Amino acid sequence: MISASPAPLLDVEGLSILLKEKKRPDVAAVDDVSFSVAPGETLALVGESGAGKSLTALALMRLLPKTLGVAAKRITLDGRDLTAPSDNEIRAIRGSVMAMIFQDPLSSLNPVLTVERQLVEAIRLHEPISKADARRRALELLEMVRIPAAATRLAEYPHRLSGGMRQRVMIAMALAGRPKLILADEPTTALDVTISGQIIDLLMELQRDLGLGMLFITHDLHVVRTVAHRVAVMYSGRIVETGTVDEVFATPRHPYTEGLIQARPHGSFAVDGHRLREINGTVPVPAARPSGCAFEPRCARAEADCRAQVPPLVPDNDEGRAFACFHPLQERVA
Amino acid sequence: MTERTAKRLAIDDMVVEHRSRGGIVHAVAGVSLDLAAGETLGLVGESGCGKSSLARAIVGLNTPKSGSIRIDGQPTDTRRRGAQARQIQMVFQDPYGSLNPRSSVRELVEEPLSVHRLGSKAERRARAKELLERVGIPLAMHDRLPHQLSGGQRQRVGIARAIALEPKIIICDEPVSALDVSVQAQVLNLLLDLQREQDLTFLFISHDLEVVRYVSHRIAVMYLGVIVEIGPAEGIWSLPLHPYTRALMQTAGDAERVAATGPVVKLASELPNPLNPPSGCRFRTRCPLAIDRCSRDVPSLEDFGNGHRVACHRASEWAPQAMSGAA
Amino acid sequence: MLRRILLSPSGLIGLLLLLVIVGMALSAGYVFPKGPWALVARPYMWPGQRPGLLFGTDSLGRDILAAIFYGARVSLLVGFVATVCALAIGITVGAVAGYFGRGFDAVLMRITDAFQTIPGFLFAIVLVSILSPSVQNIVIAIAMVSWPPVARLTRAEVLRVRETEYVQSCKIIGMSTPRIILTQVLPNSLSPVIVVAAVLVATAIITEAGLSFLGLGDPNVMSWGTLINVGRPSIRSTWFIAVLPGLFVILTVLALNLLGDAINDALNPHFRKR
Ligand SMILES: Nc1ncnc2c1ncn2[C@@H]1O[C@H](COP(=O)(O)OP(=O)(O)OP(=O)(O)O)[C@@H](O)[C@H]1O
Ligand SMILES: Nc1ncnc2c1ncn2[C@@H]1O[C@H](COP(=O)(O)OP(=O)(O)OP(=O)(O)O)[C@@H](O)[C@H]1O
Ligand code: SF4
Ligand code: SF4
Ligand SMILES: [Mg+2]
Ligand SMILES: [Mg+2]
Repeated sequence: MISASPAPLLDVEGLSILLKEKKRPDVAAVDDVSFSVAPGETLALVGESGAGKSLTALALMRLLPKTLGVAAKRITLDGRDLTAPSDNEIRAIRGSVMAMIFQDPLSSLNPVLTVERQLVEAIRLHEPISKADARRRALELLEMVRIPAAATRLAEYPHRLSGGMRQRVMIAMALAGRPKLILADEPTTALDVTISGQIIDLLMELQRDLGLGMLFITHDLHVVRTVAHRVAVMYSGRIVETGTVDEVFATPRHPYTEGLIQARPHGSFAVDGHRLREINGTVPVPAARPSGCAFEPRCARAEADCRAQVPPLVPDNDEGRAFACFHPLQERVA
Repeated sequence: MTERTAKRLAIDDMVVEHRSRGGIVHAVAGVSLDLAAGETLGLVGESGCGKSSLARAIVGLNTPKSGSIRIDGQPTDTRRRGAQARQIQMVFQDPYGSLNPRSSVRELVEEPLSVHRLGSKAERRARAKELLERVGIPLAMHDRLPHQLSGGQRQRVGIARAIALEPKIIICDEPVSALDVSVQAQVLNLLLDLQREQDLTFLFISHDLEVVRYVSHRIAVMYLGVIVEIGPAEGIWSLPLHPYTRALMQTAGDAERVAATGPVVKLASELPNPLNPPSGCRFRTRCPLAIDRCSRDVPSLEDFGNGHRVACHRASEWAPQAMSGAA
Repeated sequence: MLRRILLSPSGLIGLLLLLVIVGMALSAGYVFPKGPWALVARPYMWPGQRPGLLFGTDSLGRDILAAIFYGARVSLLVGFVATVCALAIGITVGAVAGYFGRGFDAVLMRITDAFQTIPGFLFAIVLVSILSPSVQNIVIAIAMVSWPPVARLTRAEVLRVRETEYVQSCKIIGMSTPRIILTQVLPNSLSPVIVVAAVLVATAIITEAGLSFLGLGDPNVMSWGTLINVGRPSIRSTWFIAVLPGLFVILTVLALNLLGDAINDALNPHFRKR
């Protein structure tokens, strides 16, 4: 894949994740996915449930269960080759070069330890500093993620915090090792609109101030427009379209991207009575993915060749725009 | 919306309380709403503001502490569910939890008919088939169990079950929140088609402001158990007056356009403890525009014309002249 | 469901063992038309000593195999009837307490607590000694001490199920409360109770054997416990009189436990293949 920026922070080429099943042949839940993230850049990975977004992030962190196999042509992170890392390498990188924020902070924070204990542990894992210094840094981190009355929050247990506060603590934990890349897996999906707005603002500010690269996973197109510079649209384990956010939203070339944008309500039915554009059917599970283009059964533009072969992701311009469709939409939607 | 003499659904001063470990939660603290026939009222607000509590009180799942409900002018006792069932039905959020895992799709849709002893067995069967076909469940799936359907299909079954008794009013509590974007559009279209066909009245609860704007004729904004703003959907969308609504709209629509119509409101903090709501205006602990008076006086809903009503002491300061003149 | 039970080794073994024992109970009258009390030979004959007396004879010269066949009837009868009674009481109490909550819950659970604190076997001994030792009273005694766990389990499940949206949706379509409980709540609450039922049958069989061993069994029926009691004085020499029926108690209990495990696994969604 061609990337606009000279030296990407994260470069992934040909990543596949295989579901190993006993009786049937392996199924690729994520199938030959390539993308890159530059320093200070946010790439949004967007797609519906089951597209393989979380698996992709977990594969980078090497947090997948053993039942899943990972194969990649090349993964480099901050100049390091991570295609087939050893356990030690991955431990050295996890948290300090690359950190992850999950959708549900409660399940990723330890319920029986105070916020301070967990932060101090995370800090001292990456930096050989004294406990007192680590405590000072823990407080700094909580202030950095704008937790009001941070000093008093240090002694709290995670379940005593509201959803938004927990997510802020999660972000503080992720920042503890001073990472360069943040993988954020639907960090605001479980939160209310107003709180989710706050968390997104916070992530964007932190990214700007710290120059972080970010892989932002979401299914919310509105969030994509707000946070991301570039976007990769995933459908049934494959990237079907990628490019800058402005380009992809203004002139989607892949029918699925267009359908996804159109399916969201834009105006008022009460005013003009327009129906929403539907995409018929549902996303196939990996095992039932059609042999050609995965979107073919739902696609209005499908022709015979779409069934015969998987459309490759072909570059469309020098700025990293690419799409995987034999019969793409025209540049300007008439 | 043209005014009609007897509203299809009139909710008057509804109060719902929950006993919880910490004390009594005033989940709904005096809400009055009117819905005309064929109208959709969208209800938005943060998690925990009492939307579901209100919905459940209307369908009789909660016993309200006080307040009354009238359907076409007739007072309705919410506890006598049997009689009311034919008038008000509900579509739930969770397409996984709202269908009995042991009943087939057909049984689920026949159930309301058999409960009310409508028609013979064969007639009920035929009607269930008709209903399922109407909501787009193919015949081959009628004998399946819920777990053999996709989320969107389950939600369709829930809708078929809700319209089986030909109700006048359907309470939709986050009916598309658990669905994929592409499936959301299918279900929203279905709901709106049914509304047009059967002149249904919807109370449509959602936290997705764009969805609410799309389906609603009017929108009510709820905060900590009270309605803080209510009015025509396009009016609220383009000219939100309550600071809380303005904050919501700035996160959803295009922030700049909203900002041009009045003060920018950024919410820094989170919902206060519902066990102990603030005095005066309930929003004042988070309101960047609060003044002294806000902690003393409870603001009441004031009309700014065209049925756009706002409960804020300061709204008239940024309401356009034409509107505040109407107050 | 049945297929899943049969597919697991423990379920298959348990079910086969149980079928053998049920078969013995059913065929007792045909195989041994003279009944278990008939004196067929010399006392204390060792198993196999005379062809046709596979398990030998007891201290009075009765056929031990016949006693075991007839004993199976008593054990299974007591086990199943007592369990059915315990389930009836426990499920009713648990469902009412769980579904209606508040006052019902407080009172019924207080009563359940009271019954649960009574040591089961001692209570059965006392009850059977006060009433007369008959099969009917033994069943009553066992049922009285075994329903509390059923009630607790049912209540916990009902509490969970009654909050589900599908139950709420039945309220909204106007379904009556009894119909909701019977057609919606209970079918979705009882799977763990079925597992417990298998264990209850086993416990009841042990309790009955224990009572008969203490001489508190129904004197009119031959049960495994009776036979163990008969064999007790000569346990050092002709041990088989007590051990053989004991073996059958163990086998039956084992079968029921294996079956209970298999049902549990079959019902547990975590083990279920999608
Ligand atoms: N541990 C696992 N074992 C087997 N299959 C899995 C596992 N984890 C995920 N899958 C399957 O892989 C596919 C991709 O899952 P993934 O969690 O990456 O989706 P996602 O895009 O993150 O969706 P969502 O928006 O629902 O989080 C799904 O079909 C899922 O069922
Ligand atoms: N059964 C209950 N017992 C005790 N408290 C309850 C109960 N149900 C709701 N509450 C409380 O009442 C308040 C309102 O809850 P409600 O579910 O009506 O909110 P909501 O607006 O529907 O939120 P959401 O968007 O999360 O569905 C909350 O503070 C909640 O904790
Ligand atoms: S390749 Fe064919 S089926 Fe796939 S999206 Fe393009 S037109 Fe549709
Ligand atoms: S009444 Fe006061 S506190 Fe309440 S919203 Fe208006 S300005 Fe803010
Ligand atoms: Mg995911
Ligand atoms: Mg709710």
